[in-house]
Amino acid sequence: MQAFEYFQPKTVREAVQALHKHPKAMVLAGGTDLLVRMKDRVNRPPAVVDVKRLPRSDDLSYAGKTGLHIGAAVSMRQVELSSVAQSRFGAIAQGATFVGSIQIRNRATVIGNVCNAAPSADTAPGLIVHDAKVQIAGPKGRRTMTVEDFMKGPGKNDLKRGEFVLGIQVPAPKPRTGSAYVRHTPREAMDIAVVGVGASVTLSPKGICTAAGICLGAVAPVPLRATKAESILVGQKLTPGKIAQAALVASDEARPITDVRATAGFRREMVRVLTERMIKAASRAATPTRSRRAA
Amino acid sequence: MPNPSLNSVGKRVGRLNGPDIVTGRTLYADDIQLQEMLHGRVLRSPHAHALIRSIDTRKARKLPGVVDVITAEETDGLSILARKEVRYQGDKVAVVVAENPDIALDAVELIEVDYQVLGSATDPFEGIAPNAPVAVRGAKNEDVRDENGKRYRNVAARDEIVQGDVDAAFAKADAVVENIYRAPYWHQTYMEPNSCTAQAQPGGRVTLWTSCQGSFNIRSAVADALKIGEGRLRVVPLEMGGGFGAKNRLFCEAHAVFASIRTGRPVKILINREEEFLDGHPAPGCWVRLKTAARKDGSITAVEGRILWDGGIGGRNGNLARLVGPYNVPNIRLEGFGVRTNKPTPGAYRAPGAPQTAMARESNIDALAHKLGIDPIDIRLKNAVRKGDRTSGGVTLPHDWLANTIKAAAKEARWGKTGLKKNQGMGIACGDWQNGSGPTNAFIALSEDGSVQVLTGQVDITGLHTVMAQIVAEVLTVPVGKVTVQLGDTDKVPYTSLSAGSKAAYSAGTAARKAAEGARERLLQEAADILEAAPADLELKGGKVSVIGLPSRSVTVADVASSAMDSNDGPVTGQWIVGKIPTYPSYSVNIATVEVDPGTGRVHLLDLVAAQDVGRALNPMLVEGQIQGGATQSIAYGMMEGMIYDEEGRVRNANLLDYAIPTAPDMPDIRTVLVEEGCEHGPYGAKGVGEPPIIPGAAAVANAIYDAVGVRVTELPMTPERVVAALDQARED
Ligand SMILES: Cc1cc2nc3c(=O)[nH]c(=O)nc-3n(C[C@H](O)[C@H](O)[C@H](O)COP(=O)(O)OP(=O)(O)OC[C@H]3O[C@@H](n4cnc5c(N)ncnc54)[C@H](O)[C@@H]3O)c2cc1C
Repeated sequence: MQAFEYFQPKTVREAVQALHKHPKAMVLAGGTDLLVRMKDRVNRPPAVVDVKRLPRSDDLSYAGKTGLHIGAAVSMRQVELSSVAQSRFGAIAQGATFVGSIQIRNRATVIGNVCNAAPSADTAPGLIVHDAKVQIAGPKGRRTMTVEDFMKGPGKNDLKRGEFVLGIQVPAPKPRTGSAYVRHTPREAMDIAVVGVGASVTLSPKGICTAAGICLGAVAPVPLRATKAESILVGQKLTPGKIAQAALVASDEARPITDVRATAGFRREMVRVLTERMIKAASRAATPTRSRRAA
Repeated sequence: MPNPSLNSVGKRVGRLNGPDIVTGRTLYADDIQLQEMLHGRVLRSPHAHALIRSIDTRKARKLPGVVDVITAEETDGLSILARKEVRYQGDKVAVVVAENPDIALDAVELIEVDYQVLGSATDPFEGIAPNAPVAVRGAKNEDVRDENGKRYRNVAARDEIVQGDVDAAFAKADAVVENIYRAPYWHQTYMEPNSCTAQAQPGGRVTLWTSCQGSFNIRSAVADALKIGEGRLRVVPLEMGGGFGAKNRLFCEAHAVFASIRTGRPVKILINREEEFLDGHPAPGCWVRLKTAARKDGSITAVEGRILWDGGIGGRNGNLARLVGPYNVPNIRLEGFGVRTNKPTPGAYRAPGAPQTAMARESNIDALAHKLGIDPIDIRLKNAVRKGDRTSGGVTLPHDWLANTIKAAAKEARWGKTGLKKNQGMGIACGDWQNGSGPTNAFIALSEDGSVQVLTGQVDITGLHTVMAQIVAEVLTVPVGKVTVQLGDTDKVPYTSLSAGSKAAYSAGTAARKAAEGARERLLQEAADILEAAPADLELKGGKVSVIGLPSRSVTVADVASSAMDSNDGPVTGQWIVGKIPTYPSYSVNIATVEVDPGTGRVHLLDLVAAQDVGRALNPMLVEGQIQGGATQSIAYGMMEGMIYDEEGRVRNANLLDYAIPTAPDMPDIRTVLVEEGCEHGPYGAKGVGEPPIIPGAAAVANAIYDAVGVRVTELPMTPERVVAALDQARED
């Protein structure tokens, strides 16, 4: 690794200043992406700005009005173990749980995962189906945008010079909403998604789907929202036939490539299989326990 | 089955160096730090095959901190660096020697090489086509022709086995199975990438510290590469972070020695994981067409086929008889090619060539069993080599070792008695392996306090030194904790062979036993003087020598050792040099239980029973560890491992992210069964146990997948994508 200057700002202002002053500086959270790349000489930043000492950076909290707040230093492990994340944001918690190993999850942050903008980022589909927004701080002040728009392509995000991500806000889900995430990998752990699928559904008291989110990982340059498949579900009862139809449409919407992990054709097939499974899992999670027992 | 009359041998003794290893105290090759030490880094070919038009090192040489840049031109006719032609991605082009590794890496990037890219061959099947690109220019190849009389390309070696009347046997067969199997290059993926440090001494000798499986082997190889006498080199082997056969051979040792001689300073070369993949010594892949015939009663009557070994630039061939395996087959027609490809020449990986061939052989036998409606266990018992049969290794078997191992595995797995659910299945496969032997040695000396020092040249790769300590403790009737085993370098001990070929414990264990018996004799002789009795009237028991029938007239081993220091014959010692010892085959049988997810093609290994005929387990815990480790590697080859090459012949997964090896959650708790029927020549009846465990796992999984979902996957690794493809194919058929 080459030598670099290290900053550990205590305020947002200091962080913005440090980033602005060193145009090629890189932000450091858990370092599980960045340090690996620096050791491999893929990234050679002259300066590194650590965001873990910023106020509220390790805050993971939930409020009925504003929803879930995830600070810049919140680890995957925190989210994985958070009961509110597990119960209300299943797809996000499950996504966090898939990442690496326990050691990695103790270091890796959710925001680092999003900023790193890998198409296979395991927390991205969950965040996107839950309409999460990133809060950005920069020389011109603050701004917010959806995670979906923020991720621009492999390794590319919407940050401009001097900007960094302060937090992620996930709106509180409507009643009877459930979500789930799964990925396909050749091995059980320490792998990268060949395909990842996050799904969320909101049901009416009568079991009609009133809102649906489907987001596909690793089958496009960015985590891809399968909007046509979503629209097949909305206004419908989620019968096995409808779910299978939506899954088939989702596999059409995917834009996979062939690489060392899988062929495009196999990825498309996995989108179909996993989307079907995740819609079912999300609707099970959306069904209140009582009525599920009755059914 | 511990032998009750033994105190140390056969016991579950933890590795004596285990605590140091797991607490990070053990010294590994890369821990060697010397004054004024320089660091070497290698510039490697980015192309699978190219001609070098020119190399410009000027910028690299000018970089502050760079001490030397070595290209072929600087090596005076040696062939340690590519001169005109690079033959695989990762082929060494230049070595930079600098004050620190970062400067060396920066300088490597500053070297400019002008390449003229050539066509490459990375697949053995495509590589032999008469119009395939030539893999290595000017290399001598065999003149082998296809059915149209056209000469095959890149065939470096060819062999055949022809026996009986194959055509008649196929004509008369009740069932015939023919399949094509493929297996990729397979890396040993030990934890410790190779590191070596060379230090040229003022007198002209050079000391080399390296992570290796045999110091003398490395010494010969460096001497050959640099055209110097072996006596100029002292090779110091260190504790190893795994080798599995790869560290039988050189990585950058010759380059470090050469650079140290040139610069007059110590030079360390550490290679990284990517370099391990590009320029290590992985196991070869292969392409196999195999046809097997059987009669109604399950007896296998004929085997016919061809194997193309993916032989790297050396065009290495493999052992053809393994396609027949441990079965009696009367009619055989097999042909094997060693095909030159644009990859590093493959090396050994635990039972070299056996897992690949077992995949083909055991899959075919399984398919025959299903066709004939015979139980896969019964068909193997029917054809297994038995007592009195002569093996392909030329041994007449004294026992039904294989059949007994199959039965032991079936019993432990409750074959045929478990309630399997939908998409679950069980599969069996067998393997055989004959271990090697010597030369090796053991030198024993007793200290005044009764502790025992053992010196050997045999590198400890999987607990050998612990086993040697157990054996010495057994013979001298002292606690294992009183024995220490030291590894001697090439200046301290006579020529010792590799720790490979399942021979270390077999041979060095024999040396330890004989050396200890020598020491025991000396001990009794000395005690006889002290106790004023004839040596024949003495017994050694529990660390004491006493007069038989008079336990009060006794003296401790420590007292004898201590008084011997002043005696006419001197200290109590013993030594033994092993040349060769006769060896026997041993057998391993795996039974895998899997569940297949037909949607994703994911295969979950639910259970694995691994039975092995081990002769006698000198240390059951270590033997079980060997079996579990070997089985895991085989399963991994079966399910996920393999090097992937692109059209330009470049490795696409030269890292441990894209080259998948299993994690703990991928493996069940492997259930081992030790079949202990003894073996005439091994120490205390032991056989070599290191290699057999890696043979049958992949094939057992293949057969279990068939049992679960009725499709046969014939290409390794059997990835989810291949399983799904096979299921799709079956649906279409
Ligand atoms: C062994 C291993 C296994 C892994 N397994 C998985 C896996 O299963 N699934 C998966 O999705 N990923 C996996 N990863 C990748 C990585 O762990 C995740 O992407 C992780 O979430 C990154 O978070 P981090 O805090 O470590 O990020 P860092 O490495 O610190 O940063 C990642 C990138 O984001 C930028 N960045 C970080 N924080 C901010 C911020 N607040 N504002 C602006 N930019 C920022 C950095 O500059 C850098 O470019 C694995 C990595 C390793 C080493």
